[in-house]
Amino acid sequence: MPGRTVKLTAPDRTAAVQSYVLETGKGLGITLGHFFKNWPSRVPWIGVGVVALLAAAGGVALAFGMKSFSGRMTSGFTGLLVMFGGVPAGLGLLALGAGAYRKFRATPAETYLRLVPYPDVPADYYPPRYRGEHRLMHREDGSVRCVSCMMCSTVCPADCINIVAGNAADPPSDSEKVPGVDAEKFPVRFEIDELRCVVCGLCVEACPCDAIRMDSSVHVTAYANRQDFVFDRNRLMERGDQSQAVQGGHGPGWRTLS
Amino acid sequence: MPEMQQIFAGIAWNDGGWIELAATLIRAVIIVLPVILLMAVYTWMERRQASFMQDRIGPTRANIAIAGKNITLFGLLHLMADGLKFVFKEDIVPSKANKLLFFLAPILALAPVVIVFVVIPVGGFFAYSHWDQVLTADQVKAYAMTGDAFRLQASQLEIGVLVIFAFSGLGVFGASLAGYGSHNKWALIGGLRAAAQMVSYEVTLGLTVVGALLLYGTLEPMAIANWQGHNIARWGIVVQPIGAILFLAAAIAESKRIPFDIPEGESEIIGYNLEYSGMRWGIFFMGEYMELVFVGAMFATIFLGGFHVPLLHADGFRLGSHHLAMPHIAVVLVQMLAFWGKVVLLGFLQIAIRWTLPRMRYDQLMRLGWIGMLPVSLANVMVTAILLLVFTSYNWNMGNYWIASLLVTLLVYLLVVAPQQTKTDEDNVAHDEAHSHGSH
Repeated sequence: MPGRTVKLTAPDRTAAVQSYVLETGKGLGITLGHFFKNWPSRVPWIGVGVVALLAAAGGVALAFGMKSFSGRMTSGFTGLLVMFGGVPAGLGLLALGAGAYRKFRATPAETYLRLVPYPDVPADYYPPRYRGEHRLMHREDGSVRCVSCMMCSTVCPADCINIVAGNAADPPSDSEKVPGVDAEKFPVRFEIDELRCVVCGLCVEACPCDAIRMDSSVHVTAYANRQDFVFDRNRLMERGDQSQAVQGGHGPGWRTLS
Repeated sequence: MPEMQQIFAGIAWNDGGWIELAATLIRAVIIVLPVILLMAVYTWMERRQASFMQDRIGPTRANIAIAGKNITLFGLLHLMADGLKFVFKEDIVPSKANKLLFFLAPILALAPVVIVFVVIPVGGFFAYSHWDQVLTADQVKAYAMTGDAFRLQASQLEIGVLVIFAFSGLGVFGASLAGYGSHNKWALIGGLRAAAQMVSYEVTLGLTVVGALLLYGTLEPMAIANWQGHNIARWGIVVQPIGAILFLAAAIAESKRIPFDIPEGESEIIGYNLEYSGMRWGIFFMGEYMELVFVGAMFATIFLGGFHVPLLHADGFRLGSHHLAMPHIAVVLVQMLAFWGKVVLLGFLQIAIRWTLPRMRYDQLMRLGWIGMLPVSLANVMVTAILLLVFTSYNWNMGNYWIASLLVTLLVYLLVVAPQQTKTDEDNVAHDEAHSHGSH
């Protein structure tokens, strides 16, 4: 591209920049700006003010106690009162003022904090592609869609999927047998160790049957026992749903074809 | 140390020794207890402050449920949780580690940092028998001479600053031995980096103080604080601005914190303490946070007037002809509070710096240390010496030294830094255009 001008965002390497001092100051300005905008909103100003006023009262009592204890304090008692009572009282009144100002001002005080009290209150929104707990999808007859092809357990980088394959039961009669279809496998055991899972989502990508999914929008729960983190087939299917995906190229009713 | 001989001789012969020993213990409590408390509070402050700087609210998990309400105490309970965790965590020692060095390293990292507080004055002299009187500075000095005053400094040594450097220099053994004894390549790299970095910045650290020490004419920390006194124009940060900035930078490098944390280098080598777990690891970090306190205390003593408060004389606040007389005990308490307040403020600043800057690369670090800060600190020593010579030979008032020092700083800025700033983006853009033409 002839004549293209690239805008440089890196600062010039002048001595001022290389000495770090001015640039550090600029950086501190930004970060401390955030600090002083966020911090006051989390300080219980009224409580701080009350504590400071109590401390001031204690300080005044201490000053009088000192005076009576010494019995010979001729000068300097004013200074003692100012230091022990006046300074904490002044700070306390300032804190009370700040608290009242923050409480009664027309517009709420500005802060950069956007808080979601997340583990205490469940998140109200998960993005559509959020990878939550695994689930196994159903066929229209309620059986599991998984055909034990081992793709997911092979691709799993954490090696957390354990599948034991079994043969599907024979159909009731020969006439109902669909050649090439009923000779399929199903998982006798399908276990996922959620403690080992790294939540990469590769198993979902690998599955050719839309059997395993991570779109349950359920955050992995914390259990007391390690065994509880190993989800078996039935538990995975509880969250499951009937898949609308086309399996075998015949559409949802492919099993009843004759 | 005649004082130590005195103490132990006193224990053997008479009751006076016991009093002296008790006084030493009280001093140790007054000085070391706040240090340990501050260390614990700093671990909380680091998280809390960092979170506010990054639009978060920090630790909220550790709590005590009282009547159905979760009390978190602003995250302070995390201190307890941390302590419990460290103590009860499994202590793993690598089977091929050098057991002796592995055992010694955390102690060597922590102990020197505690020892240096011996010479730091947290206050002046407390004339306890006249605690309720308004005393002038001369009276306090007289009581101190007759032994009728309690020194708020564990040990008054004429070589105080040298003691500090000697012991803080030992800190390098903790890091490098931890790396050497762990039998782990990453830890070894971390230990070597720590050794190289701390030795390099030790030089600058020492030289930056030399300028200030030339002015103060003493190595004894309390004398240094008293030289600066209640007059803010005599404080180290005003009479030695370049020295103060360089000292803070070098001290942060000594404490191995970001932007100088290449010995730890979490994202690349994890660091010299890689193989440590449980309380041994905790001791390394106790050492790190104590170093935070130590840097604050050093900086406060040498550059921020120590325990002195602006306008606060020995007999109370004085401004012009106004005088707010204060009893001796109030003055001493305010001064002690002021000292620890300065230390906390400097801790705030250090934490802010840590959470603002990225980590330096190794070559940047060495370049900054050896061809950046070292020559500037040497120049600072020379300029200070010349100015001091002029001031003393013409008998000028040292109270006006700040004007000269600010002029020198301005001159350095105008001659060295400002010309570089006239360079604009255009050179760089032209340079870049030339490159993009050549590339197709």
